[in-house]
Amino acid sequence: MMETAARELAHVLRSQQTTLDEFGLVALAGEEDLGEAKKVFFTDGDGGSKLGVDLGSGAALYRAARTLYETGNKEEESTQDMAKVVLLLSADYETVWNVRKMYLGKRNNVEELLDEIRFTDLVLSKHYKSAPTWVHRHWALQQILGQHLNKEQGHDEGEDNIGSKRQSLDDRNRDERTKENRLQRDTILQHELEICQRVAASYYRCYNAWSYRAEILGYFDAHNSMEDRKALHHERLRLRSWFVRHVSDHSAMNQMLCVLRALGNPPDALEAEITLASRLAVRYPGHEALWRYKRGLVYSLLQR
Amino acid sequence: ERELRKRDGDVDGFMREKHVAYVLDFWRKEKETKDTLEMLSIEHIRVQGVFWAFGSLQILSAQDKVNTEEIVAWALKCQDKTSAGFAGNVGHDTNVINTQFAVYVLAQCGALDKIDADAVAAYVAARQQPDGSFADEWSGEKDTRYTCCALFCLQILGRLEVVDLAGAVRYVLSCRNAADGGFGQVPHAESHAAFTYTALGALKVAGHELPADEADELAWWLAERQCDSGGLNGRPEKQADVCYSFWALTCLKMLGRIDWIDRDRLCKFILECQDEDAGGIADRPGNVSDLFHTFFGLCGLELLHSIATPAQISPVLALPMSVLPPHASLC
Amino acid sequence: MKITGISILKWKEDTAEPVFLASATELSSFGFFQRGTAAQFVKFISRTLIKRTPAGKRQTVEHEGNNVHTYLRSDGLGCAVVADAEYPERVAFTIMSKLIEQFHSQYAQQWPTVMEDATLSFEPLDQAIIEYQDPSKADKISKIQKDLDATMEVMHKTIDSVLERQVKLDKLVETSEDLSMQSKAFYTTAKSHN
Ligand SMILES: CC(C)=CCC/C(C)=C/CC/C(C)=C/CC/C(C)=C/COP(=O)(O)OP(=O)(O)O
Repeated sequence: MMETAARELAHVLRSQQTTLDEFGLVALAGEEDLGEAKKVFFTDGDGGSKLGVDLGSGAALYRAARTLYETGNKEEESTQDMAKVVLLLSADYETVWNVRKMYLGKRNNVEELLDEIRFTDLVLSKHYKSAPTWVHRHWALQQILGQHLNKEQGHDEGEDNIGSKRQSLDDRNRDERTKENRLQRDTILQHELEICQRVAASYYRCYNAWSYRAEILGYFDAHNSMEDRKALHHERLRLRSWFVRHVSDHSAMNQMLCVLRALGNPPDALEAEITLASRLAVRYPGHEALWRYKRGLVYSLLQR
Repeated sequence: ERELRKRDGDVDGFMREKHVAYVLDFWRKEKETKDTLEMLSIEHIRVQGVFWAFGSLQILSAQDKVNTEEIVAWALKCQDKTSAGFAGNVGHDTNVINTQFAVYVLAQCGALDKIDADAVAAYVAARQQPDGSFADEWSGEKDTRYTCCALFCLQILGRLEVVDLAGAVRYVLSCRNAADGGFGQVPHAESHAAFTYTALGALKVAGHELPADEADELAWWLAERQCDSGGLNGRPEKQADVCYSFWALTCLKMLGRIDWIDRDRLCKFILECQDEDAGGIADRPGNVSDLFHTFFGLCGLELLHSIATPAQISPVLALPMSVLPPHASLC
Repeated sequence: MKITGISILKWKEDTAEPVFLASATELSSFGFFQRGTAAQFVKFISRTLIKRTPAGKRQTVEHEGNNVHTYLRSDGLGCAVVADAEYPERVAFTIMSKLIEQFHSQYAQQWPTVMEDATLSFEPLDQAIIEYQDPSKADKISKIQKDLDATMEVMHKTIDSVLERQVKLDKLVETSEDLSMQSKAFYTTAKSHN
């Protein structure tokens, strides 16, 4: 019976992959008389975005899924679908994430890697602290950025250096592709920052999420790209409106220091932030975070 | 530094017997029934669980209540025959972190001679990156934890010379936040007491001392981790948690500034986190205990000299001095 | 900085437990699966702590990163605000004073006779929980309340110290009718899952 439930869940994870955005464990038993029809898991309708698993059935479902996974052929799609059920229930199972890395790495398909990132969105909605999940996400992101989007771009730049001015049809196609890649890259990085923001809003100051968010900034190049500069400014505004209402959120303030650094620590921006921090410190006294933040800003200013 | 006198007995209110019973009970239950998701999802890092449990028993001088032969045999089964690295449990993937914990468990059991130190050291050395950091072999992820575990492992095995120590130090220092003196998980990440421990521990093992002004800056930041409750938190304005009674406290100890916090109030906080019903120590008062917090709570009490124990815990390596090979004993 | 719930209650000890007169919650920051539980906890903790606020006193109890502010007038009309630890305490109490006053003038005759949980319609409450999510919006009323501010004394307590001897929060949770099985299950998991 649990095996069937595990298979059904694997199926739901595949067919509703794009819509599911939140997973939770819910104590269904005892809540209402579900009798014989007691559900092991449920979604809020077809094409729903919420996936709940009964708290009381969690362990049994996990065991069943794990057995199916462990006895399955790891090269097969159905086994890899089952891996997702296992990870959804036990996100720190690093070995399973690793097997997925090999599986996805071999297939080397951007769409699948993007799906993998979306799957970690779902896992993180519950296991937001899970370090192996963040690590796996980072891996998938690096595969996409390094091996697919950048490679083609780098290739193009190499060709440009040859100095041929005449644009053949081939070249133009490639330009289009580069632009598209660029666009896709921007969308992906935005999504990364947004997921971190979502975690920040539901789970106060999750360290792994903020640490990841700081690392994402490393992919932006404010010196050479207008788009990246814009993205960093966007992050700056998002952080600002966040911590004026979360004055003890030192994680957000640290992220702001990182954003400003990525922008080259412009003195006017640093001074504007010092003014804001001082105003907040007066209005809301007693917050270590604001004082630490002010020190950080002054330090950045002195570093210039 | 005003040192507290080492105690002959336990501080009032310390539930020694209950903690011993709690750990032994966990030990037994962990083997027999795994009927909750929580129980099932620590299987992948069983080697860490064993370390916390056995370490707790050593501090409580009750380690002879468990069968070490069984532990040693199991730990050896976690080793990958090809790479010589260890996994968190039999049949799982290896990494530097679990390798360190497996070596620790073997050290706790006095069975370091059961492994080929050169092979394990070679495994660890192979994880070092050109920038000096150490990385996970599956994901390429690197942070101060991997460095710390790599160096601790080599320190125990007496094989520090197989890696580029200067590079390791360089990477760790790149994770230091100059504005507050603390260390984060990766460069520029928020300073955090647990990652400060991994950084400081790694630097200590690598023989790198922080300059006095940086040590002061850091100690000040660490001292500010003490909350109104007396407990320590891991970063500004987060809740106090028993585990920082080790991570943060031992950093102050390494810096020779343990008296920058109020030790009596910290001791009181740890005692309040004891689980009266089940035994063991929880992260915060009123919560349910677990092995991780039990171990770090006990380490905290030991560092504060609040309990009587023959196991003096190394502030750097978090192992009893008595189990460290002579070449590995740091102050 | 956020307010999760504001409730107006009656506690005159002519009922076994304090009764709710009106309440409002703002739960959009909680995940889908936490919302139900969060709403129940607001109710549970508000009732529990109003019952343990001495008449005529203001009290703040910190609990797992939240502050529960309570104010019980000598005549038994009370207000509870559940806010996060960042939300300025002064502002919370100012809002409570104002709401209680308005509530009293609207329901002066009625409220003392209510004997079980009720949901009296009280618009200022619904507005307050939206508008005062941003505490700076309360500056205007804060000024009017300056005099009150000067004399306002707030007792700060821990949950253990307000509960009667030998009673633990766990026990209250276990027997509470405000909490469903699911919320109780969540409470136990939360305590062991940090
Ligand atoms: C030898 C020993 C004992 C350890 C070896 C070295 C290792 C692996 C140390 C790991 C320590 C560590 C980095 C622990 C976890 C820190 C972390 C991610 C905390 C963040 O979790 P939150 O829940 O956000 O915690 P706070 O809210 O307390 O910051």
